[in-house]
Formats: sequence, C-alpha cells, structure tokens
Amino acid sequence: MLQYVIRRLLWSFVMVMLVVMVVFLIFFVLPGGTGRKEDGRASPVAVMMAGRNPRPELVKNIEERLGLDRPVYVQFGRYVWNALHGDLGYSYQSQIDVREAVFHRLPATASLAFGASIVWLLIGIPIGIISALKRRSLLDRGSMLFALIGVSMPTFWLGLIAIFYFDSNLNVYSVGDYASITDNPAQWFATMWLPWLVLAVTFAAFYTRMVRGNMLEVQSEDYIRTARAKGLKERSVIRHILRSALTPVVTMYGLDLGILLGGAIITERIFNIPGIGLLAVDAISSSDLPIILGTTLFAAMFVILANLIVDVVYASLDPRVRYS
Amino acid sequence: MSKKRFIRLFAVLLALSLFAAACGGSDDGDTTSPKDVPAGEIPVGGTLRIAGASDVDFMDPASMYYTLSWTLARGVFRTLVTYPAVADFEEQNVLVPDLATDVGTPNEDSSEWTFTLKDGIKFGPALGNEAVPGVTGEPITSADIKYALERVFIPSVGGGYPFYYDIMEGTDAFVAGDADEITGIETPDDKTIIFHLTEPAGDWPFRMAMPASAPVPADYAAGFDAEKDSDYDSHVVASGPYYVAEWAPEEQITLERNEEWDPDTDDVREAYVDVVDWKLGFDNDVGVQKVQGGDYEIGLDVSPQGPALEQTLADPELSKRLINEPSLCTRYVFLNTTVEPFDSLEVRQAVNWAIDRANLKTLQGGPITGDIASSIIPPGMGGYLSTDEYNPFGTDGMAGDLDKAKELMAAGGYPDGYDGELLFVGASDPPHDKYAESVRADLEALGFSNLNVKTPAFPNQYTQFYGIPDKNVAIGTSAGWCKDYNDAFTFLDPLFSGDNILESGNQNYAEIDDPAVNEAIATATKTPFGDERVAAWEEANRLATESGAWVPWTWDNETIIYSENLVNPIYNTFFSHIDWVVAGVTTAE
Repeated sequence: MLQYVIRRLLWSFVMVMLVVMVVFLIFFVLPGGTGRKEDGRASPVAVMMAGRNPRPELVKNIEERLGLDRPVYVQFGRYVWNALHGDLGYSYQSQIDVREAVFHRLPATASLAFGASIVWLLIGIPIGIISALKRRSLLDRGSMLFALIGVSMPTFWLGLIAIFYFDSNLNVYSVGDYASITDNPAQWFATMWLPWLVLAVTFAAFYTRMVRGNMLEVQSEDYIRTARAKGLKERSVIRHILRSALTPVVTMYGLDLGILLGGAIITERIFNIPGIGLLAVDAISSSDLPIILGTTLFAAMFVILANLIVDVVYASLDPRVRYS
Repeated sequence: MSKKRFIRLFAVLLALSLFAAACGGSDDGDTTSPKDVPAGEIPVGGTLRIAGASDVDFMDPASMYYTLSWTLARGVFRTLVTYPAVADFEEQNVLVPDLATDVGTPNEDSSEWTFTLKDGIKFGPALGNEAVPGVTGEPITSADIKYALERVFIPSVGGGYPFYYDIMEGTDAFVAGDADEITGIETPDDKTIIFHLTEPAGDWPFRMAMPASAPVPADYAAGFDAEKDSDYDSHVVASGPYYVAEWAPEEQITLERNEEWDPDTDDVREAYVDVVDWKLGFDNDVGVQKVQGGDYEIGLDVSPQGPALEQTLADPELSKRLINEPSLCTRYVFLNTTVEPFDSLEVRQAVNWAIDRANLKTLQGGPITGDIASSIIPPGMGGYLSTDEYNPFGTDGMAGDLDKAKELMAAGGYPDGYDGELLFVGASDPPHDKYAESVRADLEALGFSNLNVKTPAFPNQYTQFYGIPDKNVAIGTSAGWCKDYNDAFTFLDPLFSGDNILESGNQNYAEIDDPAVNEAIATATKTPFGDERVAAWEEANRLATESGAWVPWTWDNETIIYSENLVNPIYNTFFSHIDWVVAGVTTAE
C-alpha cells in the first residue's frame, strides 16, 4: 500500500511538471502565445508592460528583469527550480507573491466547492435512491425531469437568473459582499448559499442520474436476486445495493471536488466571489504568466491529489480492490 | 489611453448577456423615489459605492495608465495643474491651477516652464492609513515633483508614458545612468520648479496634469525604488482629499478622507463624500443590475451592452441615468504606406472612398456607440473638425462611393485593381471579425484580389502584427487610439510622426513618414496653447486625414450608468468618467 502511494506520488509529480510545461509551451512557443519571442525581436509581454511608445532600453530592461530574454528551457528550468523551493514568483501585473495570492484566494474557492458539494450530495443521492426504488412512479419521472433540466441548464445562465430574482427582485441576497468565514461567518453564509445552490444544481442532476442508474444495475445482479429469493429483509437488501451502487459516486465526488478546488470560474465570476478561478481569469486577460502558472499548478495538484485519495479510499470501500 | 480590454475566456459568456436582458424586463414599479435634493445643494458625507469589473493597473501614479486608474487618481493625487470640474467640454480643456498657483509661465518659445507651489499643501497618509514619519502632514515641495518625474525613468518603477517627459534636458544622461538627477528640472527653492526642455512644448501643462507628475516623497519612495522592483505601488502617499485605506487586488479598493488635505488650497475638488467603497470583480451584467437597482452609485468599467443597453434606453427611468458621451477615441483601418500599392496616395484615397463606414458603424452597434468619423481627431479635443465643416471622403450616409474609388485606383496606376498578396490583419473577437469581413468585401470590390486575411485573438493583432514593422501588415482593421490628454499631440505625434516608427511597440502602424504631415505636427507642437494652437492642429488633422493612411470610421462614445442616489454627476473627458470629486450621495446621513 505504502509503496503504491509513493509510486503514485512520483507519477503525480511528473504529471504536474507536464501540465506546467504545456502552459509554458502555450505561452512561449505556440503562435498566438503572448510570450512568444521571435529572433531579434522584443518579447511581446515586455512590450505590453513597457507602455506606450516605449524606449527600446526600457523594453530590454524589462526583458532582462523578468528573464524573458533567456531561452524558454532556461526559463522553464528556473521556474521549476524555484517552485520546488516554494517560490512561485511574482505577478507581472500587480507584483504580488503568487503563492500568497493563491493561498489568499483559496478559502473562498474552498468554501464554494465544499459547500456546493455537500448540497449536491444531499440532493442528488437521496433523490437517486428513491427514484431507483420507486421506478416508473410519478416520483421517479419527476426526479428524472429535474435531472434533465438540471443537466441542461448552464451555470452562467442559471446564476444570472438566480441573481435577478433573489437579489434584484426579492432582495434576499446581495452579490459581491463576500466575507471570509473567519471574519464574519453570518455574512459568509449569506453570500454563499445562493452560489452553492446554483453550482449544486447541475452536479446534483448528474449524481441523481448516476445513483439511479447504478442502483438499477446492481438490483438486477445475481447476488441481489439471491438475497431477495432467500427472503432477506428488504432493508438489508437495499443496504447491499447501496454499498455497490455508491462506490462509483466516491470516485466522481473526489474528481469533481478536485476540479472545483482549482477554481469554479463561471460561478466565481457571476457571484463575484474572490476565488482562484477569478484570479486565473484576470491573469489570462492581462497575460500574467506567473499567476496563470500558479493557478494551473494548484488546480492540477488538486485534481491529482483528489484522484489519489479516491483510489486509496476505494480500497477500503470495495474489498475487491487491493493495491500492492 | 489603453482601456482594460477583457479577453473573455468563454465566448459563451458574451451570449449570456442576451439571456440576462431577456430576463430583466420587469424592473419598473419597484423603484423608490430619490430623496429630494434642492437645486444647487449637494449632500455632504456618506459612502460612494462603485461597482467595478477590473482592478486598477497600478496604484503608483508613475505607472497607472487605465482610465479607471486615472478616475481614482482624481481624488487621491494632485498635480501642478488639473482639469476643472465643469460640465462643458470646451471649458474642461482649459487647465486650472491645482498644486501650483497658476497654470505655468512659459518663456518665449515654450521651451522653459516655471511653476510656483501653493502654501498649505501637505502629504497625507500612505496606503493602508500608514502615517509616514517625515512625510505625512509635511509640506509638498518642488523636490517631490522633481523626484516624481525622475522616477518615471527609473527601471524598477516602469513609467506608463515616459515619452511625454523625455524632452526635459538631461533625461538621456539620467536614463543612461550617467547622472543622479535630471538637470532640466530646476528647483531653486521649495516653492519653485522650472522645467528646461530640449524642444518647445506648448502643451507642457497638459503633461503636468497627468498622474505621473503628482508629487512623490523622495526620501520615502527612493527606498522602494532602489529595489529590483519598486513596491511604492503598495505604499502610495496621498496628496488629494482621499487616501487609499485598503487595496485588495481584484477585490476591493477603499478610499477615506485625507485629513491633511486643506480644502482652501483646492478650487477643483469639493470632496463631498466621506468614503469611496469600490468593489471589484463584477460580471458586467451583474454589475449593471447592481447599479441600476441602487446598490451601488456608479458603474466603473461595467456598462450595459447590446440588448441590455437597448433596454436601458427604452426605460424612461434608467435612460435618465445613462451618460453617453465621446470618449475621445478613434477607431480606424490603416494602410501601410511602405507596402505596394499603398505607397501611392491615390490608392490610399481610393480605399478611403471605398470603405463602407456606415456598415462598420452598424456592426459596432449603431449611433449610440458614437458618431461616424470623417477625420482623425475626435470631438472634445482641440483640432477636431466637425463632419459638417470637413468631410473629405464624405458620401451620402457615409456608405462609400465605389466609382470614385475606382477612378482614383486608375489614377494611381492600378486600373485593374491589385492582385499581389497583401497581409490583412483583423481580430477574431466579435464584432471585430465582422469589421474585417466588411472591409475585405469593400477592398475586393475595389479589385484587391489576393488578400491574406488573418484574424488573431485580441490583443495579438497589436502585439504580434501591427506593432512590428517587419511583419509588413498591409491592412489592419482592428486598430484604435484614445487620447492621453486633451491635446491633439497625443494623437498625431505617436501615430503620424515619421520619427515614431519603432522597431517594436510601434504605434505608427501605417508607417507614414510624410514631410508635410511631420512639419504640420512639429509646428502645432511648438505653438503655445490657445486658438492658434487649435488652428495648427486643425491643419495637421486635415493633412493627416487626406494622406489616406487611415480610414477613420468611428469616434467612440463612453457609456456610463449611475444610480438615483448620485447627485451632480458630471462627465469629465480627461479620465472619461464621472467627476466623482464633485458628486454627492443622497444616502449621506
């Protein structure tokens, strides 16, 4: 087991390096990358930073200061080396420490991700279970309709509608007043409940469908039929079904949470929650490579870590899975 | 001035504005009536709440360059001279004293300018309400102005627009590191500052009204500037009626009263409100809703667009609280004068006749987005010529005249059009893709049969094509320019002067180097400001327009919304926004 975890961690490191390398390539090498520097020409990022009608010396100076005049592999190597020492550099735009910026934004994103995930589990799993048990009932049809609508509604649309009704019309919510949970828990909750609901709807719909589908599949398996045939109490049968049907939910939950921790860009933008997603969007609009790299790095790490945790937890949930 | 442009991550986000507008129909009925404000009486106190999308580019006055940063600077930094807080555009362009006792005294040829500082002007707290010993509460001296201008050239600072100041004597030596100071800034005593310039500049006071010339306490800031990367940005010291109490990048900016500011020394800023609470990070449509619903007083960098704009205009209440005024920006199609066949004057003029400007305007969103341009200098700026008095390529409805264009093509030696390959660069972001399409159709009708069309994503058309002369972009359809200050120097010199064709970061995209145009620009630059200077710019405007290097097609408008709680909203063309230092809020206690 330990050996497995170590091996996975090593692979994770390789994965993260690959992700960072791809971002570097997009930025520096691909046509259209703002960092792409052609021979004998100034780096476009440096020109952008130098302002209007820049003196050539100034552009050169910026290039040197940021190391943009070095070959890409040198810049990459230097970035990795510094990153390994916990230094993710400074924002081109605002000069803030990237690591600090990400850590500063993490609570907001984590609040959103964990809160929403609890909401969608609370909605998705029970509805999925009931739906599967009362198959073809009105309740089942109703829940599947909800799932269809939920899956089809894009977050950005639903978010705006929600703001329109709850903020502009009913005045029970106010966009943009985010406070951290440690500063003002009441206000934190007051600004988070609506984004949780909005973000959770889509996921809840997915989970409902998945739980229902798994339940139906497991119900038709031999061992369940056997259990029923030998007269096991229905409660116990359901417990057996749930055990099998819910393990895939763990996988999905882990991955979804990992992805959301990397920033729920659209929800954060619409509800003006200062999270990692918003940080990344703003950085992309100003070609702020250190921030883009920092947020990507964290997002990748969350996904990989979530994956690892899911796989490890899986072993204890499903006795058929063993790692060596 | 470069406005912050959002390169939107998802095209779908644009589509959502359609939904938002479609769902926003029932806003009437629940609007509360504003508190009665007797005419001429503006409430004192209260909090001015601003809903914004993006952050300031820099807090450091030397580097800040976005219009929204300059809007903030209006209340935080004072300069030697400034723009009056009046509604009339022409009066706005007449500078008034701010830190100085007058608007500056030039020598005979405007190459030497003398200013005297007022008594009673003091520095306030640094960012975060930090009282800096030896700075806060101490008088602002001429040395502080001098240092502010020197640091524009210090690499660790990175000035936003140093080229406006490099005509000071001794700048080259300072930049090269051969001198510790710029010798052209003379400070015989604490109150007097004399600028010695290498060439005449009738518009020098305008340059002394930009934030980069705001005083910076030398001893305090020098410590930050000595680092590899100056952190004065996070420690700016206020000189205006407000200081920056809090700055959480991309989240929040809070301004509070600077108690060191003496209203008796300031004839411009009334500073009615106590606090400015500027919340950042709003989605555009959400921000618009918040302002129109009265939760915020001003939208800064958020404004109704597309259907939301139409809806605002159709609503009798909301349309009253909409400002739609010239932003002093011109959008244009440029023709590279170094690329055949655009080296021919006739061909360039032919293209000017052929382009359907009315169609471009429709694609942009119709008349509300601004007037169709007939020459280069936009309304609100000295040298502007109204379409009625000057329209060299004017046709009915400005839709172009293909016959006239073809005649000129023939006169230029291309009776059958031109089939050589020409690099044509637009941009992919809507509606820029449509602009490119429209211009391409016009050119093909004129006989340009071999256009190599590229439409990169914003802002790559600038950084990877237009700004690099080596690329030989023949035609660019997504170019635009906004003024830095209200003198045509900020338009014609960087864009039409042959001296300003740079190897990288070039902005004279047409690479025009026409002796007559150069001469006209040089003449106008030298002329002291007043009617004579305006006339000189009008002449330069005519010559530049008729050179055909540009097809200017719109003078953009700025669209701003404010809530019913705001009293006395005046639009100021200098920073293209509401002059909030003379506005009040009805929510004041």
